Amino acid sequence: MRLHNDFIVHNDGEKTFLIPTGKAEFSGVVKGNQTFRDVAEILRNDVTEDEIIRIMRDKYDAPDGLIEHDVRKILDNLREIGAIID
Amino acid sequence: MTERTNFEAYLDKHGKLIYTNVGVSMLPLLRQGKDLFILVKKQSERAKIGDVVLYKRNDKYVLHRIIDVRSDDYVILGDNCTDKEYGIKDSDILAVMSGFVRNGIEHSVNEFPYRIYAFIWLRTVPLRIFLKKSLHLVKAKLKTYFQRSSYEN
Repeated sequence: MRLHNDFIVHNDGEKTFLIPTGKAEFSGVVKGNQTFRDVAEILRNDVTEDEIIRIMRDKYDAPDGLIEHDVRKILDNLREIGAIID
Repeated sequence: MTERTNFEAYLDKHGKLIYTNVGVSMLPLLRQGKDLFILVKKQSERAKIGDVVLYKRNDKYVLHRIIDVRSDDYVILGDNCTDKEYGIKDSDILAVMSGFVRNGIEHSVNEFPYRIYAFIWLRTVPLRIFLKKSLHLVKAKLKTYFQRSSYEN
């Protein structure tokens, strides 16, 4: 899976924004925190959910299950707005 | 958390908006599907000549440049347009562009290269309008000529 080309990722130093281009059906702005930023960056390449979790686990020291939960939630939200190509 | 809103309410709440444009009216500055613009909510003071502003026209949001400031309204023109818009008032303007993102890099409208671009673009409005309209006319004439030629053959 990877991020759809119809969405642009922008980091302004504090927040990360995911913004649809005119081609996307979704209309709005998605704002996210550091976790969202990391997942969005990883999704620039074609990766599996397990690979995303593995990369995040390498980067962060978090309780078991938390990373998986956060990644799954972000991916679900992105799928809902059509921002992911599976 | 999902928050359904419109540009006005979003700007009221956050004061700033980063978004993307639809269409080609602000080329070459903003490329559809590639670049982003950064807006700040318009305050009470008047906008300035050269400002790129977001306003509403017939229930549609438009992002174009101010080319003249009049006592009660503004004259506005997209960077890639030929038809000026008159009668845009302060109350119509929601936000002013403070920057843009091109190739992933954020730029402020206060940066020197942008100010040069805006300066040149403003100063060449009559010439650009003349050239675009002339080119359009020539294309239309050529199209008619070649269509006639193909019918006769």
